[in-house]
Amino acid sequence: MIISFFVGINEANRSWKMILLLLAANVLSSLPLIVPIFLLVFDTSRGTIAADSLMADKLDAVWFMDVANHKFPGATTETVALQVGGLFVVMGVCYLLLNTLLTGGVIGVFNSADGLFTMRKFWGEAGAYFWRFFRLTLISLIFYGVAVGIYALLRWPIKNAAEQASAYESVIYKRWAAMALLALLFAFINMVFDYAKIGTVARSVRGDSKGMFRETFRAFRFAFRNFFSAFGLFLIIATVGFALFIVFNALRWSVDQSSAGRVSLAILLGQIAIAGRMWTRLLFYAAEMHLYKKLAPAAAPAPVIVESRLV
Amino acid sequence: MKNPFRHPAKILAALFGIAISLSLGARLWGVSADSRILLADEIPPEPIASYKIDVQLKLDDKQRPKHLEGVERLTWLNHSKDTISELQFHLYLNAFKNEKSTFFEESGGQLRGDEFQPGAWGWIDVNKMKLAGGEDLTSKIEFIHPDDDNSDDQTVIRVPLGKPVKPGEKIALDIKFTAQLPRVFARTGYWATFALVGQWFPKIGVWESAGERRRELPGWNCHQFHASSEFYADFGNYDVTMTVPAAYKSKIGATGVMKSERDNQDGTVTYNFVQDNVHDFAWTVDTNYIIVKRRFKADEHVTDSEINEWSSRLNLPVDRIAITDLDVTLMIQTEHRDQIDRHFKAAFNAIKYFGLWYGNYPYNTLTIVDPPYNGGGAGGMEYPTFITAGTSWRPGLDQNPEEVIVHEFGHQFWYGLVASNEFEESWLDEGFNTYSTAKVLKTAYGANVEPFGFAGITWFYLPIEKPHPYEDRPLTLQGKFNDPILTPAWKFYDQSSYSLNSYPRTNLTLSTLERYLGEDLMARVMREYYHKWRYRHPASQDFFDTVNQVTGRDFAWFFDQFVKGVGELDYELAEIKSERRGGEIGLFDKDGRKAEVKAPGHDVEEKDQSATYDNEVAVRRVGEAWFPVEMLFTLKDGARISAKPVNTRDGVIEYQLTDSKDGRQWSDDWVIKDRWKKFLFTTGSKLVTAEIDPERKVLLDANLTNNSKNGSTGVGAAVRWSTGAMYWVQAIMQALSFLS
Repeated sequence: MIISFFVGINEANRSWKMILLLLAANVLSSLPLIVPIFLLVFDTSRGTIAADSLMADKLDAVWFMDVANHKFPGATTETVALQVGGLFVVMGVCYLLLNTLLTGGVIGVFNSADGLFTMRKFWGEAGAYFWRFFRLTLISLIFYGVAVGIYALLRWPIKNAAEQASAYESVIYKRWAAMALLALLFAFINMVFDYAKIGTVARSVRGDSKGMFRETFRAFRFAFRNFFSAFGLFLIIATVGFALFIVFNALRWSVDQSSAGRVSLAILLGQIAIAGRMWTRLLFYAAEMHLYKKLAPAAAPAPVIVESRLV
Repeated sequence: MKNPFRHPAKILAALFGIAISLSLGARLWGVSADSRILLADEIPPEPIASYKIDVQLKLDDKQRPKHLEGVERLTWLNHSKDTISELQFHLYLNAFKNEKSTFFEESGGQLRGDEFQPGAWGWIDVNKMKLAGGEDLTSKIEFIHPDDDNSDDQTVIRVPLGKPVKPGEKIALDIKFTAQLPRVFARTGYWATFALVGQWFPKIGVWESAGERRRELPGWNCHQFHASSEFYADFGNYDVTMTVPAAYKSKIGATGVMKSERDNQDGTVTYNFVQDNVHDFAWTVDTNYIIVKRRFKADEHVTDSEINEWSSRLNLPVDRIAITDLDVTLMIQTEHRDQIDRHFKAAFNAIKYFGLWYGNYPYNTLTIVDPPYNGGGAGGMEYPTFITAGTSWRPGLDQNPEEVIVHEFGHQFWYGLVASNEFEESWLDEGFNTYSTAKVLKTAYGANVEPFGFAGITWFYLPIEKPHPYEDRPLTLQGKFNDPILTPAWKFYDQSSYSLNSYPRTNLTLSTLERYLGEDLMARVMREYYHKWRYRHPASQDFFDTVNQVTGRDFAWFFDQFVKGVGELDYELAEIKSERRGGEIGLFDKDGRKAEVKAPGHDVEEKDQSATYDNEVAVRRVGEAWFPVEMLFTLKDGARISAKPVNTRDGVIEYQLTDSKDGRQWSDDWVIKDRWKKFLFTTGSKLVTAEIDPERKVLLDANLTNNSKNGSTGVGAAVRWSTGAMYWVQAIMQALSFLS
């Protein structure tokens, strides 16, 4: 487990081009929401002194609410939430599909004999596994739904107890316990489907329409047989990734964005924080790939991808 | 020498006269309970409605504190010049008796975020009512509904008297009643071992003579209990004895001061609380209370320099700014014990600043109650010397519970001492208090923060600053007003309109008035209003008159528009132009011939280095309301031209413009009814910025984003905030990729 962790770090570190690619995809995916915000602020502040006062660390809430009230007269919180929420859902689904594609490329690269990134290798692998990974994502939703169902079942007696309580403390601890269980279930399911994808690539499973259910079953079996190694590795990487994000996030928020230079610094630190999350993602796949190959039944040999054949 | 005792009657008369004179003298300057000499305007008037109540709290079969059995001796003074032939009483708890009450019909069973639990009803019955030593009035009791046609509402009764009460006459009634508290809802009730006992006894209405509060005819002011109303009663002395189950020993709090505690040795304990010169009485029990007492000592919390400062600003002698010490009792839930210091700090700040600004809190005691989880419907409420607050389990740095504590203490002034009619003029207590609360919070704590919380914990604070009182603008000014501020509580369009007009809109209105008058003059207005109307029932016009009297000006234009009206106030900086004079091309007559100027700035005949700019600033009144707003114009060389309204008369706002560079001054008028005004002036430098209300005094201006014009591109601001948003969007979407 520890060896796999350090192997994963090594692989993630040398895959900086993949990190940049993933980051670029992330930035481009956020633009449909960001461009309207840019235009809104630009349109409402240009030619007014608000343009100067908005170059500040804190948002002028008075200005912001006046814009909301007068740029969108008659809009209620519900309609705005619905529209923004709806856009978010659409963007989220598109990003999910994009990530499904990119995951194929990432795992494919890590599975290759040399493990080196090239654009052709990456996109070739991404395309090759997209449909299978999409099916795995759909299957995973079933299990996430089961986890949510377990959580809802736990919340029912907690809710009843809360309605009879005269102290909040007893209620909140129960709620935290239920949320912690849900988080662990989500983490476990996520880990299982990581191994499902890794197993799919490692065994180069092709052409079998029921293959993804079988891969899901194999992944669960692998996870339960090697529970402490697999889940331990997962939790270690998650902790490292979370700590990394917290540190860079804190650095970003420590910047007083009241000048152009400082805004640029905050943008840079923010993108480093997001890149850190990409790095963590690569660490997950690289380390899990190593652990899987060490512990799983013999997989197909790592393919030697001759790029000229991919033309 | 004649024997002085020859005429004993004369001696007695002389002694009696001396006694009368001494008592009259005492009324002129009086002595407070803590031996401070009271001035004339601090002396309470004679009590009108005094209550001596003996009540027993009984548990139901599930050990919940629900049932009350009480005996009440009401001593009532007819302080008017009218002969009164009937009495009217409030029976507030009957609002919770069934869904046919006016309260339920108006609220739909929901209030202050609480939903009524069917089955957990409340009620009050008058079992017997008789004049002390006289007529039994029980059979004459009749329910009335003075505000609507709901004959099922039982929150007001009338009791005809066989013998009318003459002016100046005092009567005493003995009333026996039983009551059941609802499960905590709309400020009162029980929950588990907790009970907040408010509006729980038959309470006499207020008799108002003709002319009192601008009333045309004399009569009872005794409204039904509405969803959007609170309470109104006369001042008097309260002496209340409560017998409670022994489980509540030392776990009881009430209006006033505890005079005695007696263990009855039968599973009950009896407490006696008294308080003079108040108009309501509430009490509470809960086995989960931690009770902490601290003394507010003025010389520990108020410095001499603060007293001197306000003495100067208010133009009053130092001894008029004195604040007296008092005992503060906090009854807090066990799970909130780490917030004890926060509660006391908030209360002490409120006592201090209300005392410095408006006048001394005249009572010896203040009790603060923290309701339990699921009992929050009883929180955030005021009774004389007794307030309910409420907090969360792990409050962050946002100003909660401070805001509710300061607000409820503030009601000791606006409602408790200045006893306006909360039914008919809710802005006079809620709005005034919201305004005062914002000032205390701003002074003591600064701007508020916006927390982001989840699972009962505050995780971080958003990069948003919420300065007081601006935080009330967004909701208040987001649309058209359905009602004027001055509307009876039950006649607002809906509960939302009641809340908006009574609280934040009044706050913004008074804050705008304060910024217009200046903080010191507004403080003098409020102080005069407090001192003049303490222990009395003012009407809105009384406040308007106080403003006019203290300022020496007529503010009818302000109150007609912003308290009695619904018009929107919005000024827009429509356009600025600044054109350099000279450089026009063409043929010009010069020295008897025509000289051609071919291009701007290239005068063939002369080189003119001095620049003169013709400036035009167009300001539009977008809304229906008007206000003498200030303006500021900034030139490229840094000079500023201020346009200040100096006079408003005959439908015209007279502006005086001043150039900071050379002190040049000139006047310009804006006819009020005109929708726009163009300020035209010349300067030696280009005009680059124009701004309406540069100091943001006019909080009622509905849209501040149209108040300025300059040459900013806005790109920097757009990049700053869109990239900030982008970071969050990226982070959230990356979290979503967890599923892929």
